[in-house]
Amino acid sequence: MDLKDFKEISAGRWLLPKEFYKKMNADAEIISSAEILRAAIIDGSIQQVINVASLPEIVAKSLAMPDIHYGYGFCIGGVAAFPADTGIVLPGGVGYDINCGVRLLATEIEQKEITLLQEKLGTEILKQIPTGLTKQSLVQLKTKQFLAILKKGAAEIIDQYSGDHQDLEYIESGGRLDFNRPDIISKRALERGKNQIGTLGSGNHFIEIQAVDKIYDPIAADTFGIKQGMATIMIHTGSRGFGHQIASDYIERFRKKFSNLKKLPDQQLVYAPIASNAGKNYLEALNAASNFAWANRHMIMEALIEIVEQIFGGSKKGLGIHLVYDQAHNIAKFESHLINHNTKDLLIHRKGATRAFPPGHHELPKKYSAVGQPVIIPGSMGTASYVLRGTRKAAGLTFSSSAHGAGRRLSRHKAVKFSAGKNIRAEMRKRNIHVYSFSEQGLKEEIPQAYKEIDEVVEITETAGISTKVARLVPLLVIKG
Amino acid sequence: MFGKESVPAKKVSQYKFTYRADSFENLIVNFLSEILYLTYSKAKVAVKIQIFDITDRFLDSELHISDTQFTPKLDIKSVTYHNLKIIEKNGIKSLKIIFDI
Repeated sequence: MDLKDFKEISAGRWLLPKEFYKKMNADAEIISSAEILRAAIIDGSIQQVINVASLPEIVAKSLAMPDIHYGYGFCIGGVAAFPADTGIVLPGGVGYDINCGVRLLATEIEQKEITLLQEKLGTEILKQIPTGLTKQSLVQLKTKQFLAILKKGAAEIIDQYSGDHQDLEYIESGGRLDFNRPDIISKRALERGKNQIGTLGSGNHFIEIQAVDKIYDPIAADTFGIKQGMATIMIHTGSRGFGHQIASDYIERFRKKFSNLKKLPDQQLVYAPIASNAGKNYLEALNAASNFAWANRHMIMEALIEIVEQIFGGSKKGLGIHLVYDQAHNIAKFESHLINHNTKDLLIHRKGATRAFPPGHHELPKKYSAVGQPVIIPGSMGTASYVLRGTRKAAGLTFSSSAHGAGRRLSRHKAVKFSAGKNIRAEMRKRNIHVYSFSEQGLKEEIPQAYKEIDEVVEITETAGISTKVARLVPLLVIKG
Repeated sequence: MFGKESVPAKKVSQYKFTYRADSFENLIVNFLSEILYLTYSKAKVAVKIQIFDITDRFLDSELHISDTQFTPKLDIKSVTYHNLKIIEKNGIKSLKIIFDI
């Protein structure tokens, strides 16, 4: 396979027709540049898009966003839809870190104020928010309390600890999906998750204090409350060990019921009918893990707000701190989309992809209805992040999906080898980015060179028309797990 | 497995692990997942593994586990089936397995 097998159907959209390979049940479409597509062919991720296109009941096309890279079975940046009634669900199409996602807060704290107090801020965040391989949660929960979080998500954190109910409108799905059956969650998942609420974790998870560097769309930026030169706070984490255990548990359960594993192109693509008991149970367990992740990000946000209030000597309101949006990028959700002029109920799998609803969508916060959903695309450590907004075009092209990040270029192992002998903190500091972490290994895994150029990913996203740029954020402080 | 720095073995206890699998891949993934579970949920580290019986689809083993504190260098979150390869040469099986980290 090479580039000439693809047809660039419009700028930034590359089609591989289903006739390319006899087992494909749908076309494959990659939102990318020629260069990214070429790299994706080489790293094997296009083969993964083809494998997904070969799954039964797939609707319209197997998609990949510009941050495409190789994953377990299903590529990162992959999007696939199946009919809500007769379709299938696959845990590999969500990933292990269920509802890994990103939350953005805007403030009216000026960049120069952050610069003056950044040492104190970084040290305090690292001290107060559990990061990395720690087992210590911000709170000690009894099983009953933990189950209440799994049921109510972010709202339970507000009810039991702190926060503002008005924030829920600015979280995808209100920070809560239906979960009413604790019996479908393994004891192991409960044990792994119970002590991890309010923890950042390791790997690519981070907290970043940023400055708004550029505004591209003043109306949308104003609607989102994002102001030039002011600080923003970004939180990237997910469902921690709880989500991983749910994914592992259900991959095992699906395997036991699957008739012919050898026929699958990759065992990570094991699936179950949505309407089967196994499928229904997984989807409800996934909802529990999604609720965990929203609660997790909410608790971290509340702790961060408290730290900022203490250091800058003001209240949340006085400092202009507000939640812009919280979005999932590893999830499967039921949504309605227009297919050939007919509305269809579908289960959309997004693995390393962001939902990007257009203006006027009924699930948007009222305040954002005129401009569309904020689409937050974090960059790698030390590079810019972007806020974009959803478009009507994405509704027709990508089931309202967009990119979720820069996308890895080097594996973690290769990144560590590449950064041998380098002082990552010192290199960052030369660029006025202060990095706080307990893990040197973690920093080496996350060097900027390990990722694609975020600017290129965002340009392609905009060129293809699946989201448009609102603002660019540059890092000042990075706290890594 | 975790790149641990040191595991001073004291207060060792025994943990029985018996598993019937659908394939050797399934057996290995579940065995390694059990070790992960002991580490992350029980704060135990396996210092010795005793195999009583092993076939392609069955394992009867006993793990000697210690509750001694240890410092993992790497956070292994899940054991995957992705590109799992088992190579058999001269009656010895070796495998390539990918962990989610």
